[in-house]
Amino acid sequence: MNYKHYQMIRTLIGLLIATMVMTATIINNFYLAISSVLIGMLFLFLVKSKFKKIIVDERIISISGRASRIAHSVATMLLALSGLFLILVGRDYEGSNLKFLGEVFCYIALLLIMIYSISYYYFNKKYGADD
Amino acid sequence: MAQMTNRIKVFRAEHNMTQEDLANKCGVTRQTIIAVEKNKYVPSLELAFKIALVFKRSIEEIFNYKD
Repeated sequence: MNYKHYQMIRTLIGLLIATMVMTATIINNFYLAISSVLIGMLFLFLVKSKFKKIIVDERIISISGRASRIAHSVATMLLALSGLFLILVGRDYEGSNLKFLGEVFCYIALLLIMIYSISYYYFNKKYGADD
Repeated sequence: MAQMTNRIKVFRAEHNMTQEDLANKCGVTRQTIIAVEKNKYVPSLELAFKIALVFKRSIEEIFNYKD
């Protein structure tokens, strides 16, 4: 199996899972959705174990690290700003859930910052910063 | 601005090796070897050592650092 075949099979499995989940949603069948996702994951795992070639290396890790940092910054900023906006707007609309939604957004932003800080602290320790 | 250049392509040709062969020997993807050859990605010290070991040369012979 070469890399192109691997990519093709992976895409095909992804499409099948999406179709199954879509069908399950339309017919309101929760178990079908869950089982199709689980079976799809199992197939993906089997295909990946069959494909011996290296698909993740230091360059990929470096790229995903940078992409994650940007995604984290943008998502946190957007959540915090939209949360603040909703809180401010929600004050003028008594009875609406805007303020509550804004608070939820702000807490999610805080949670993201907390997870980032904890993982940063962990990796900083792991890679030798003792002081 | 500091810049890293390398002679991987030359050594690959000397050893009659494809990018795929070198990638397999170093345990990375072919895309990484392409990126290193084109000076678009600076490899880690570990990868630099692995490449040097494959060609049985010192790192300085393969990689060049200009300040």
